[in-house]
Amino acid sequence: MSTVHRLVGAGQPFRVSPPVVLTEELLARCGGLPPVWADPVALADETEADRVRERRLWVGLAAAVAVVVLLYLARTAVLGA
Amino acid sequence: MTILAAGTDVAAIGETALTVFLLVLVGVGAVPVVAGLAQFLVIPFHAVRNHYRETGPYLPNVAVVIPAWNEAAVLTTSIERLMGLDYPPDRLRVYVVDDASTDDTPAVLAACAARFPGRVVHLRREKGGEGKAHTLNHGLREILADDWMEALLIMDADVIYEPASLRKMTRHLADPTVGAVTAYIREGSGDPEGITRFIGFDYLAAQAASRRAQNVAGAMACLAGGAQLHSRENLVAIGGQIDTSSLAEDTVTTFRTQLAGRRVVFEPHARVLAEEPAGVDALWKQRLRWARGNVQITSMYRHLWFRRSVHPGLGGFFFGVFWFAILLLPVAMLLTSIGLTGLYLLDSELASEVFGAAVFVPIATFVFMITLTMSVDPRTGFTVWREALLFPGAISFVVLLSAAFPGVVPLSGTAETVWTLFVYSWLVLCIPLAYGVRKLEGTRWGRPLTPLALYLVGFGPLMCAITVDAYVKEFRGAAMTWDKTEKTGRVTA
Repeated sequence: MSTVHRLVGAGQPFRVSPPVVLTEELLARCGGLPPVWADPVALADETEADRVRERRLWVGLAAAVAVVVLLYLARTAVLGA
Repeated sequence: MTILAAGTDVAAIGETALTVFLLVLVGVGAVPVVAGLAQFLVIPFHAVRNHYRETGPYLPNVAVVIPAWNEAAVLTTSIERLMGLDYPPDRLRVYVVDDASTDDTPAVLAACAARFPGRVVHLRREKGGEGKAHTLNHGLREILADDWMEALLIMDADVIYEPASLRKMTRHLADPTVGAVTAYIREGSGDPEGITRFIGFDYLAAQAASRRAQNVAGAMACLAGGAQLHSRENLVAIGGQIDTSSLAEDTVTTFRTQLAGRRVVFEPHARVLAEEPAGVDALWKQRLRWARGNVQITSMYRHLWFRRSVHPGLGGFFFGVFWFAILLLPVAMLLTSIGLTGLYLLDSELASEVFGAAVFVPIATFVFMITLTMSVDPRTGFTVWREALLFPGAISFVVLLSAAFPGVVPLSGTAETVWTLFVYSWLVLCIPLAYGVRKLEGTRWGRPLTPLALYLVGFGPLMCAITVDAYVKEFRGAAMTWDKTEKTGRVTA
């Protein structure tokens, strides 16, 4: 990428937000269990799960290719008969 | 004798030239099919080429801005859902910009503001009816005047966010090169039927599938109007205002963000439910606005297309072909039809050979695209699989089947000629017939017959007819009216 198209923000540190202070009242509102957003590790785990979930796209690709191949074979069989 | 021979040669050359020209027309008509296939082949690469490794646990102060004109039926549910988002409550505020509503919207908002003090803000415009962009700008001026907001979520009054969706969007803003993030909008009717099922599949293909391809390609065509999250820096960089000169303000915002040097990311796991039109006429008005907006943007950014020097993603070959393949699809269908019909009249055997040799490509592409599309969100996919198969229409489905398996139904003589000419011309005939489906809805028998007609003619041809209408309206310089889609609160989570 040329200097003209260098992304704005490239080289800058990642944005961070201040830690969440979980009050008793907030905890009670969440049913007594700490919410995901209160724990940076839980947030990171959630992101990792979504990242891994994207691998299912390969299964979709395999299924789509398989359906096309089956259609082709069916067509060949019908036309050859 | 010599003159006669020369005349025969000229006729032969003319016939050859015409044949080549007609073959070129058929070839040009195949471009959208190839472009569609290329786009869908890219989608699986989102498994490895995505933005997740550059995200972080970033939870900024988010101001949600909702433009509202007579939205009393849906606002309470939307606000309750926003207040229930799995996100730090002190970092979320909702600003509803009431565009001089004449229904119970002010009363509904007053009740919500009382229930959630300090977290729901009612901004009222005394003069309304200028459109969504003007309404949003009213809110943006107020929100940007306060330093509190670090990120801004633009949404529609009827959409419902799944609890984790907002934090799944904000995590991408941890990367300072990202200017905006959009979510996966799904058709959200509790009891989808007919047209809403078609829209369900349309959104699956155009959002969940296609936007993954755009993530991979590094250029986003459009932030969803009902779910676009901007960093404060990005909003300031693009002028702090939404474009009011076109009917596709979301697309202009998306282009401006990327041209200003920031990335736009699609987050497929942030899911949002939206209410969509339940009738053909309402859908036509909504999609005509979008299509006219795209025609306007094609002209507005004419210096950009196929010029990587202007922007490496938006000006790239892939993005350009993708953009024009959709915009010029009706033209491509017309050219293919003219090419095949002309070839048939000139040399029926050649036409048959060309059609027979080439027809499996669009059929295979269609099957590949719908299978891959359904696999990206199987739950929605299994709900709308019939509409996926009948997206081009039941008549087109039969035409495709007969083309894939020629000779299964033996035809000869006049019947074969009529059927062949019908198949070759159906690509164009379906467009005026789709226009007829809209007209049918307004008639006495419209209510029972329109869904049947829609399944016969197809949702795809309906979209093509709307694109043709957009060309015509833009060419004639028709007034740009903002036809708001009526919302009734049908969305259920």
